[in-house]
Amino acid sequence: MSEASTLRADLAGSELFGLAAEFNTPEEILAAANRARETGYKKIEAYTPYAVEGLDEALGHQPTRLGWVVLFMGTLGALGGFFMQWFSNVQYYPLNIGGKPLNSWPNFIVITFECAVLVSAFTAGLFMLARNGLPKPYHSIFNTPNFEHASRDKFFLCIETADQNFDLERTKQFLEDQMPNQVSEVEL
Amino acid sequence: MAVSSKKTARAVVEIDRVIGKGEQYGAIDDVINDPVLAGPLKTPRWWWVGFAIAMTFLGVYLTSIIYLITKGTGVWGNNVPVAWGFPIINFVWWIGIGHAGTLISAILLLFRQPWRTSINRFAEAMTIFAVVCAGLYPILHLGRPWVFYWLAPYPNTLGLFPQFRSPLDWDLFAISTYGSVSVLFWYIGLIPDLASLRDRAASSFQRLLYGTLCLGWNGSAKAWQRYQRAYLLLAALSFPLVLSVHSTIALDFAVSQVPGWNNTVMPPYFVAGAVFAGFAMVIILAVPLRKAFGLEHLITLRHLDNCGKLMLGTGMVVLYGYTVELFMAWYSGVEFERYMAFNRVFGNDHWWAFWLLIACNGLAIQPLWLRSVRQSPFWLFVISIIVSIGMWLERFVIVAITLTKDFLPSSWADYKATFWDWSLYLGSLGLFATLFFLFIRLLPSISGTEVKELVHHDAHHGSDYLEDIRADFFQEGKTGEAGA
Amino acid sequence: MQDTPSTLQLGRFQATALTVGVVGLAAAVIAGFLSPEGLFFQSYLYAFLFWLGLALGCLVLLFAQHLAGGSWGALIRRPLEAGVAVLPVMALFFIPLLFGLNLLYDWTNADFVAKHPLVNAKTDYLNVPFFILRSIIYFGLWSFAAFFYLHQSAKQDRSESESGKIAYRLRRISGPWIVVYVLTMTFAAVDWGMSLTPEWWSGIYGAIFMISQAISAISFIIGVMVVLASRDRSIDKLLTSKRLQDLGNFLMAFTMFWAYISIGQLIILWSNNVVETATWYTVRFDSTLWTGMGLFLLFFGFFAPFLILFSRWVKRKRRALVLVAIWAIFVQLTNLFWFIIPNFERSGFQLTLLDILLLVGIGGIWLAVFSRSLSSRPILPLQDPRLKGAEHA
Repeated sequence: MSEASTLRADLAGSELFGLAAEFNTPEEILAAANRARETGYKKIEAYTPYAVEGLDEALGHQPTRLGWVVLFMGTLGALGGFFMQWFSNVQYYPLNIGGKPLNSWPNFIVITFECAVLVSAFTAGLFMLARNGLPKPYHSIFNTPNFEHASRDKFFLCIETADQNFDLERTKQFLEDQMPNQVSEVEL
Repeated sequence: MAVSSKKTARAVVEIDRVIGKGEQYGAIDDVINDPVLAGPLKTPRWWWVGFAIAMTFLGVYLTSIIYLITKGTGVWGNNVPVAWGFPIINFVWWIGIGHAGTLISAILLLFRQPWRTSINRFAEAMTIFAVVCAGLYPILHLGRPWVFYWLAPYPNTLGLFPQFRSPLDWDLFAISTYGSVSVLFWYIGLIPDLASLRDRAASSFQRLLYGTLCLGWNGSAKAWQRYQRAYLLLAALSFPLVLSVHSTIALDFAVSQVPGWNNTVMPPYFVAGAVFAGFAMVIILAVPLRKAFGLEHLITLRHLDNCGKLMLGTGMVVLYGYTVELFMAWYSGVEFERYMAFNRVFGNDHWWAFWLLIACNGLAIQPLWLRSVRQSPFWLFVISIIVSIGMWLERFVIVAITLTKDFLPSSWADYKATFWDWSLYLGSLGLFATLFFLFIRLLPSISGTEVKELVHHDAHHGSDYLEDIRADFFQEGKTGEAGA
Repeated sequence: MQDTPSTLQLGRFQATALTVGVVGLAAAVIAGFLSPEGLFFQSYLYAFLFWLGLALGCLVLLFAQHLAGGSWGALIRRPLEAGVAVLPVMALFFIPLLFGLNLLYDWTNADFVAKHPLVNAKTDYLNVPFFILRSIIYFGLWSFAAFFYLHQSAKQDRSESESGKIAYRLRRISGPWIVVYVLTMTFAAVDWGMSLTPEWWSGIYGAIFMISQAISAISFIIGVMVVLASRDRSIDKLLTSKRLQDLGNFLMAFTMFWAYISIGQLIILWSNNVVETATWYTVRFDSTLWTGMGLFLLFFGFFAPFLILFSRWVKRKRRALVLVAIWAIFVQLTNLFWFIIPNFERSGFQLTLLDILLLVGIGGIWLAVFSRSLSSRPILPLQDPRLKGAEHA
């Protein structure tokens, strides 16, 4: 135990991911996030058990452009779906069914629609996972003591060492001032 | 089963809040996660009993499939003209049941109805399992199920492509899209809860299992932001998807020229019927589930009340469908249409099916106009069972009875289901139940993250003022009614 | 708790609308005598169905908001009630149609019926006395609903102690009233619209009419609410961007449903290709003009507004949403035109002066009655329990 803590002290500063403060309520972490942003910290991130409204803005995160990506891919899906039917039933292997015109567009509506939905839905889901870097077997934030509560009832604010303004003492003091349960160093 | 008559006071309190008062984050977690994380030996006895029964029926299912594949579709009662018998009836029945799950999840999320949070997870699971049961039917119905992939467009040595004007091929696209999008929606919804299970894991196996399944979710604000947008988009896409899937199934019938099927009211009326049956199934599953796991504070009477209302609403649309169907058959002036309607209602062989379905779907739901019935789990359960039977009968009338007597009297024939028809149907219930038992044992059946969010919302904005007003409103109405 | 809602002064608007209406109708009558036989009644049917649809849309939205509505329902209740108040007047407007039945409906013509066995089979339903009887029933029920709801609403305003009870009563009977509306409107659509092509039938036809009415009504209400908000402070405060978004969502949902059942009908009837049911689309897909209008409905009636309404920003901005709402009303006018007018096999350019004159004429009277009713009472329901907490939400 003591060995581990000396080791940690040795690593401190050079091998740190950042400093994490643990809060009890979403209101506290919102306030702390706002103050951290106002103080000038840029590389800050909050970890919460559920989506706290307004936290992304408080941390200065840009809104996501996922909707536009999905719209674009959905349109491609629809065009692709229609093309598939048109090409195979009109160009490649024309079939005369019940005397209908080869390009029976009213009959192509359903599959066109399904293709649009299929492509949009998987774009939404997979693009979200990819942008979030998932699956990710290892992330430094999991080294935070008590972090298993981040999915239960505690709210963590982490200022990363990569931040320009990061200074072990001053940042620690800043976090202490936000009245968290505890402030801990997060190893890389 | 606690009937609410003597518990009016409690009911009113529960109307106040979708989720019971005083639920705290940690406590919510424990209520939801503990049954999942408990060791195999701590599994409750009722689970083992239920699982064993379900597995028995699954055995019946597998036996039926093996027999079917060895002998061919002749083991069923299908004949000419009734080429679509039980397999299609049950296919439509199952897929309809699945729709309520998506609707609860997607539409109620879009309309920001907080009461969905407690029931959406298992409703989505129900969707997936129902789609599995449904999807197997048309494949088995092909006769040579092992070449079902011929329906899909792919480059092959014959240079052939599917015939895209056929609604049966639309089905393939609609159902595979529906199945895969449902799984995606369900899984994306599960990720944060899986992370919560990982962090609470009792054994290293559990940690490995849930840690892998949650993909390393850490709950960062940026991740949540993207997650929420993606989830909302999936919901927005699922809504038209549900509509399109059951409409496509309706089109299987409607684009034919068979009297009784050739009706433009079919798509919306099929969708309403699907939702109707689906909500019945939600209630059938929710009532025992909340009792067994002690989830009465999370799945409240308010949830059941709302499900009851939706059942009533969609049931009335279905009744409208029957009315329009019969009226239009008569109004059309076409001899075949008129005879079809007559045969359904008064025909010698199957008149009972029509009247029974009217009794089940039309009359049995009328008590739902009363709030006391909607808030009684027992009566809701009973009505839901009746509705499930009624909706099955509806498909029986539409699929089988319509086909027995169409244009050519010389080719009229009766339809009788065989033993293997029934065994496959009962077996598919076993498949559904097996999957469902595994689900409630291995995964959280309520979304903990969303319940927490709801609790936070409540705490943050004080009590939901409007809801309180509405509760008062009920009270006043109630006393007024008593006075009158 | 809040500013006492004021009563609007709409005297000038009302007088203008009335004048426009009377002048329009008078001009239409004169033009009708100068036009070929039957043209007047064709245009009259078109204009009548549109304005009746707007009033009926208000009626069903009134039921719906009583049944399910939160504070948004209470907020739009007065304009809805004013729209409903027009229904008895629309019943009077129906009477002139009776003089043109033989010019509009082929099934009134014995020779035609004799030659068409399918129509002959329908004469139990399609005959003039029964047609008139049914119309009397429809208008009787709708007017009764209008009087009843207005009466109860006035009673609720007067008495605070009774308000909860009345609200509860209205809530309880609104469900059954929706059933009545749906059934009457289904048959009314068959009578007035579907039987213009007497051999044709389609089960979803009535539902397309109903959803079309709902789109017109919600668009109209969005417009009215925004205008009211610019003139009245209490409405201005209550018409938050969130409530506006709710109304916009309704418009979007209705538009989706309208497109869904219209396209469903097309796929089914087009694929069936049966003589008796394909006729309707045969007429509409044979000429470039009607096909073009159909495509316009698909692309600019559905896709464009749907994509625009997907944006939250539009639904939360009053002026933007009003523009979409006006467009939606225009689309529904076009939709009704596409439903009704091709049946008459007019030649050349299909829109006539009479169509416009009658649309303006009946519309003037409609708006005059509407504004009279709207200004006769405070523009917010005084004792609606749902409004008591509305400011907090």
